[in-house]
Amino acid sequence: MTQPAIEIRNLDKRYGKVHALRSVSVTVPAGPVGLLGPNGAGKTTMLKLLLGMLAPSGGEAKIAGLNPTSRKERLAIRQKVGYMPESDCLIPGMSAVELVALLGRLSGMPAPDAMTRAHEVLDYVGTGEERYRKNEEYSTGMKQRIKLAQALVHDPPILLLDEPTNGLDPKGRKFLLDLVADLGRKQGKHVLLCTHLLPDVERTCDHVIVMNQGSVIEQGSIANLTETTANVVHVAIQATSEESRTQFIARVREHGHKVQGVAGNTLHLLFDQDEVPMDGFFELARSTGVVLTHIVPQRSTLEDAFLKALEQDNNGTMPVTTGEAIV
Amino acid sequence: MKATTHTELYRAYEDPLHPRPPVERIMAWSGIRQGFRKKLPALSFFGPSVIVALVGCVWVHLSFSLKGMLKDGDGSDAVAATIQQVLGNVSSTIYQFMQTEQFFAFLTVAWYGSRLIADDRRLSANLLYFARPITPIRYILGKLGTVGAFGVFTLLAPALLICVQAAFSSPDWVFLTDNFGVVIAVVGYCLLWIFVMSSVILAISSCFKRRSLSLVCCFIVLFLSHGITQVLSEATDKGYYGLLSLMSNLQSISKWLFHESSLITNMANRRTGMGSRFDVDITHSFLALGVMTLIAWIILYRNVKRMEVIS
Repeated sequence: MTQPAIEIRNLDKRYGKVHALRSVSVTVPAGPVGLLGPNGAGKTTMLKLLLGMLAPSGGEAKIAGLNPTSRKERLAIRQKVGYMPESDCLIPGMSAVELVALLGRLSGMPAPDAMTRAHEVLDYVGTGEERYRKNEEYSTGMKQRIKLAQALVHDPPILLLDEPTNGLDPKGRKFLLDLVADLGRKQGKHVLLCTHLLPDVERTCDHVIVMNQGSVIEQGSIANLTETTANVVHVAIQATSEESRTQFIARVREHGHKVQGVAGNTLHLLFDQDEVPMDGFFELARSTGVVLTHIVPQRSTLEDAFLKALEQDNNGTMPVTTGEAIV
Repeated sequence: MKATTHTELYRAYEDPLHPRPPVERIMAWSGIRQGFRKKLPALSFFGPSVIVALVGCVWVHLSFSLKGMLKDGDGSDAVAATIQQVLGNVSSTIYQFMQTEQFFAFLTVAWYGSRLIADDRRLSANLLYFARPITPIRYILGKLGTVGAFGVFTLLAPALLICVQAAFSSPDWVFLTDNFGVVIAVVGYCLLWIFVMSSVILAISSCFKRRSLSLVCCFIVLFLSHGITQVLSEATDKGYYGLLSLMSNLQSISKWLFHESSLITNMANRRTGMGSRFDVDITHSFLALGVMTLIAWIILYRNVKRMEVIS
């Protein structure tokens, strides 16, 4: 089994009275993982703790098998991790290629390699000739690309990306998510994508960790979280008349099945038993002159899982005592 | 047609990374390059230093030339003697020019140094730096390298240029043989000035997120503290108030160094002592300067450490 990229045990962080992380324990598997949560959930705090940029109030974390609270290991971590901060941190007065090359050199690359590599990663993120412009002249989309490039310049095995799609238009967002997906799935990077946007995680990650108010409230593979809701089925019908449609619905109800919703010719049926009685169902359709065109068991979306987890969390599974966590 | 091959490829970097890259040098060099990128400030700050240095070179050249004329004993003796008196001796000329250079050096170092850490804080660029294997001390040394280099360009280099001119203008290298102590004093004092001033300015820069505030604070620390201590000294007739002023302490040390340097080349005068010439004991000045620098470093380290790891 592949070694987990990040292991966190009982990690706690307080900013004075504000409890930003509450005894978080999580194992981040290899591959692309989404760190999902609303603003103030403690996502950025967790990333900074992993990089050793924040000192924990309690607990421990290991990233690439190294402890970020140890000064020596912290420096080693920073060579193995690429960090894309959320804030607009590009140094003005420098061009993108100069900045990325400088940060490559600071990561331990020789000057010629750093410059070559800067061009390579800037090509990869699609900056083109704009890489020679000053950092202060870039659009938000371009800045996000450059921030990703600087995180990649020393080719780290682990990438911590903090809200990489913030402020991007749909095209730019798609481009950046494609890059993140490529890095996580094809280039073998351990990507921890920190975001509050569900579609970003759904699109790029295999696993997700859901955070709220400093706690991990859900984690697992996206496939598991969005597993089939066994007894709900979407049924699309083709009825010859309105009468036959109404009759079909009435007969379904007569047979003890619950019709959750009707939208045109699409019905949402709820069955009491686990197995959907398909044979009887076809018989019902035939007798009422309705053709079944589509029968699909409903899958819950990641959004459902996220909202459900949040709802459970806010219903008192975790006490809320000190207000909003700050990041 | 747009070539798409290399925009779609990610190439792994195979070579090992240097475990301890020379980050101080890399950061210092990057800072210097950035400093010179804007032409107008560079011209405004380095231009006056260059002009002062050139005037100084001409001045010492004239001094030695007129000395030569006086020795030759031609008809213009009286005129030459008068001009020679006006020009003064070379050591004091170098001292005077160095004092003038200090002002421009301060402006330059304050202008460039005040933004170095303040800008990083404002832009959160520390997140980029400290995501790399950089310790707070090495970060400080990198910034100190940048600001120190600007100090070298505006103070040490012009002062040394005048010394070199004096060496070449003096007959039989008499400047070097008789006044080598002056060169040592110039180098020693300039390096001390650069180190102390850079440390103080970086410490101030680390306290603010806005460059303008940092710059104003630099002027307050240097000039206002000097003004207040001068007034207090005058009012109470007690010279030790000067110990609270960075500028006064540096002045005392420069006077002492240049006086001492003339003693180095004149062994006969060494025994006469020099304490009585100064209002404040030089040991106290060194001590006060040491304490100020130490405080600056404590502030600097504390603030930079917080930029790396927030407790």
